[in-house]
Amino acid sequence: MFKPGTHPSRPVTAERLKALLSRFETVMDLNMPGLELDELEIRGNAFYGCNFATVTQTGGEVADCNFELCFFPFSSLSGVTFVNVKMKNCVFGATRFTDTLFRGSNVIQCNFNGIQASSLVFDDCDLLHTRFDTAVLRHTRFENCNLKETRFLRTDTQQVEFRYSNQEDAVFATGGEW
Amino acid sequence: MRLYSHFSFDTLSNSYLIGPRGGGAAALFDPVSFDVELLDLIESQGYYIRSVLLTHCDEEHVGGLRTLRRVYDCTVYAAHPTVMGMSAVTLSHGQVLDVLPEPVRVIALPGHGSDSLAYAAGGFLFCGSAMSAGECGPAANPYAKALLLANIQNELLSLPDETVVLPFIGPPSTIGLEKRTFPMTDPTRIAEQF
Repeated sequence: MFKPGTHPSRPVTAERLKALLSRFETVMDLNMPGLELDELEIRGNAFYGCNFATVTQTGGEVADCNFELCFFPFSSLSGVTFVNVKMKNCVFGATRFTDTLFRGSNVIQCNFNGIQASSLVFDDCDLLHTRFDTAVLRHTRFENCNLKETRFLRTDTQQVEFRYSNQEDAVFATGGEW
Repeated sequence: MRLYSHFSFDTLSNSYLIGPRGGGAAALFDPVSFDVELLDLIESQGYYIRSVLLTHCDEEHVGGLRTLRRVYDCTVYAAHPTVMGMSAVTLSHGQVLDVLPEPVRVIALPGHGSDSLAYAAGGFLFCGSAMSAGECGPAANPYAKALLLANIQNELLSLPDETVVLPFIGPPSTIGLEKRTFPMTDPTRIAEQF
């Protein structure tokens, strides 16, 4: 696990990240906030305890990867596709998602609180115990997803579509009754 | 230090294992259950559980404690002198423990319960069920809730923004993120808590 509050790994560049991913299948404790990634393809890597806060990623695909205890808060993801990804205890809070797709992925107990989403799709995903509190979800779709204990507390869900998902097992509350 | 989380699918709650890189004496926070997966995690990393730190003495926080103590000769730290009939080292607010390579500061959080504690160590905050991502923990009545909210504001949200928040229930967070999403930080939402 990266040590919070310490200086990031140097140099913090997309090139260095690519070099690390090509050399190591498993990446642990990496502290690389503020990355700017363009059309980055990540395939078959495992990440544990890494910090990618305030990352900006445009385009690209993340496939067949594992993420555990990884942090992406206050980031910006646009046009990114996640396919067959296993995430557990990851933090995307206050991140801006645009045209982002999660497909066939496990997103277990992750933190999407306060996100701003436009055209965000979860297709065939397990979102057990994941939170979307205070998120603003525009043109967002949950299709064929497990939403057991997925929480939408004070979430703007007016433009959210649930299809073939067990939203009756999710937790929805606007505030006062919670 | 190296941190591992163990998610119990039975109770949907978290335990945390923390210890030095390369193995050795480690600490376990809130042994909600002690199953083969947790045992594998401890042993595969070369750890030996020397300390068990409890954020709360409720049964749901200590479900695996009895079995754990049969396997490891460990000291239990809590706000009570006895937990499940076993003796514990009693902690109070402001104490600093040396059970990890980095000092562990004890933070009392009355409001959730009279025995509610959090621990700050090496940039990590183990806050139990007093708070979780975007949410204040439960309290018995509005007065207790107000006390808990004040304690969270004064003792937890005053920590550095990059501090990683590790709750008993739900996903992790950071203090910087909680300042954005936690109800207490928005005056218009404080009333919702009552």
